[in-house]
Amino acid sequence: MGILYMIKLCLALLCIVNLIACSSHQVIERPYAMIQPESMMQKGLQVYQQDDYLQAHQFFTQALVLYQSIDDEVGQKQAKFNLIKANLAIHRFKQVDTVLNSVEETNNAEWSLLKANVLFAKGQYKQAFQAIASDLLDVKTQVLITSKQRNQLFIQTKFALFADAKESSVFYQRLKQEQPVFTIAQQALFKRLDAHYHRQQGQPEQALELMSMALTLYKSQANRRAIANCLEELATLYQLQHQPNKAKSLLKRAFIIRKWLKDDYKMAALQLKLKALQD
Amino acid sequence: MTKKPNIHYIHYLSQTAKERLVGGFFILSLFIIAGLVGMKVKSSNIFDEVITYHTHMQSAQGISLETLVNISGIEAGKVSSIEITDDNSIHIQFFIYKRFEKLIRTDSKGVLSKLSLIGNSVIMITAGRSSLPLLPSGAEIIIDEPITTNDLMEGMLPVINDLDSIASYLSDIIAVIEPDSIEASTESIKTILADIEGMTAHISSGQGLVGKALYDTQQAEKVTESLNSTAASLAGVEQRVTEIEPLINSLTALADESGQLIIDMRASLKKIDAELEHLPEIINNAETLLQSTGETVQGVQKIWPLSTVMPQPSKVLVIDGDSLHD
Repeated sequence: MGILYMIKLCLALLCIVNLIACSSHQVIERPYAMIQPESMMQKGLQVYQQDDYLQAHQFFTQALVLYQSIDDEVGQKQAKFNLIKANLAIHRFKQVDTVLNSVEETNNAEWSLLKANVLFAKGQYKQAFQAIASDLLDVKTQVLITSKQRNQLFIQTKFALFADAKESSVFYQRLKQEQPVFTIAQQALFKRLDAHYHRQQGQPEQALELMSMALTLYKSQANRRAIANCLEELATLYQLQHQPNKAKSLLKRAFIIRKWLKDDYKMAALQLKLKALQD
Repeated sequence: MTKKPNIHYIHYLSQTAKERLVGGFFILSLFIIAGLVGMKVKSSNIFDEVITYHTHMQSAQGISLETLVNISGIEAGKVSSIEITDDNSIHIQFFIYKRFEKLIRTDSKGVLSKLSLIGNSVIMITAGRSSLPLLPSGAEIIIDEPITTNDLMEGMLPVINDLDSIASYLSDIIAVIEPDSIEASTESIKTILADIEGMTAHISSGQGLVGKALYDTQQAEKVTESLNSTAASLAGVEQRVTEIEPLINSLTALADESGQLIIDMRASLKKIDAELEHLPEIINNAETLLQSTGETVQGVQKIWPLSTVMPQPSKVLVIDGDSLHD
C-alpha cells in the first residue's frame, strides 16, 4: 500500500515536471504555425548536410509555403535562399533561376555572393568575379581575424584564378600567408587553388601533386561534391599531360559520385567528356 | 512602499530560477524512484545469505525454478535447480535464507502442497524440534509427494469405463427400438399392398363382380402387372424416405445452427463497424498524444540540468558557406 502510494506520488511529480517544462520554455510558448516552418527548414538543413538535395528541396519548398501562410517575409527569403543553394548543389539551374527571379531585394552581400556562385557554377567565371568586385577584401591592409573573412579571401582568390584575372596572383600570395591557421577543409581548398595557380604558371607536375593532396584531404572530410570536383579537375590536368586513360578513370569515378548526388547536369557533362576521350 | 500585485510567485522568478526549480523537482523524483528500486531490491532478498538443501522425488509435477519453500507457513526460500538423476528420479535443490536456518532440524520433513496438481506448488517444510541439532547445509530433506494427475486419472478410469458402458447400452437400445418401429410400419404397408395384389389377382382372373363387369382377361393382366410394379415402386420409395429422414433432420439442425451463426456474425460485424467508426478518432488522438509527447520531451531537454548536457537544436536556418568548395 505504501509503495503504491509512493509510485503514485512519483508519477504525479513527473507530471508536474512535464507540465512546468512545457509551460516554462519560450520555444513551446510560440505558436505552432511559427515552429512548423522552422522545423521544416531544420529538416531541410539536415538532409542537405547528408547530400540529399532533392529531399532538401522538398523540405525548403514546404517551409516556403508555410512561411507564406503566415506572411513571414524574412522566413520566405531564408527559405528561398536555401532552395537556391539546394538546387545549385546539383546544378538545377532552371529551378535556381526561377527562385532567384522571385526574390525582390537581393542587393546585400549575401545575395550578391549567392548570385556570383550561380554564375560560377554555370561556368561564367569572369561575370562571377565581377559580381563580387564591390565586396573584395583589401588584401594589402586588411587583417583577417575570423574564419568568415578567410573564406571571403578564398572566394575572391578562387573566382580570380578561374577568371584568369590579374589580381589572382596577389590574392594567392595573401592566401599563402594565412596558410598556418587553416582548417582541414580550408587546407584542401588551398591545395586545390594552389594546383590551379601552378598550372597557370606552367608547372603541371606540381599542379598534379597538389591536386592529389587536395583530393586526399577532401576524402578525409567525405565532402562528396568537392571530391567529384577534385577528380574532374585532376582528370583535366592528366588530359593536359596527354594521359587520357588516367583522365578517363578519374572521370568515371566522378560520374559515380554525381550519380549518387542525382546531379543530372554534371552527369551529362561527364558523359560528353568521356565520349570525347574515347573518340 | 509599493505593494506587489496579487499574482503567483512563479511570475517573479527569473528563467534560470524557474529552470532550477523544475530541475529540483525532477531530481527529487529521480531520488524517489531510486529509493523505491532500493526498497524493492531489499524486499526481494537478492543479497541475503542462503543455505542449500536437496531432495529426490519421483515426479516434479508443479515444481519449477520459481517454486517457493515455506517453513511453518513463512516464505523462507526457493527452488534453485531441478535435475534428472541416472536412476530417472528427480533431484531438486532448493535454498532457504540463513535467518531461517534454526528452524531446520534433523527431524524436519517436507511436503509438496496439494495445489501442485493445478500447477501452483509450494514446498512446505515443517520446523524441527529445537532440542534436536540443526540440519547441515547440503543435507537431504525427505519430501512427501502428493497425488499426481496420472494417479488421479487412474482413479477416474473405472468411472469413465462405466460411463462408456452406459453409453453403449443406450446405443444398443436405440438401435433396437427405432428399426423395429420402422420395420413394423413397412410390414403394415407391405400387408396392405399384398391385399391389393390379391384383390387385383382376383379381378384379373375374372373373379368378383368388378373383374367380370369391367375387364377382360388380357386387360386385367395388364392392370395386375401395373399394380405389381406400383407396389414395388412404393416399397422402394418408402425405403428411400426412411433413409432420407435422418438427413433431413440433420439439415434442419444445420439450418437452425446456420441461422444462429448468421445472427452472431451480424452482431460481430455491427460491433466491428462501430469500432471502425472510432478508428479515425483514435488515430487523431494518438497523433495528438505523440505530438504532445514530442513537445514534452523537447521541453524536458531544455530544463536545467538536462539543458546543460543535451545538445540544443541549432537556431541556424540558412545554409552557410557551403559552396566554397564547388
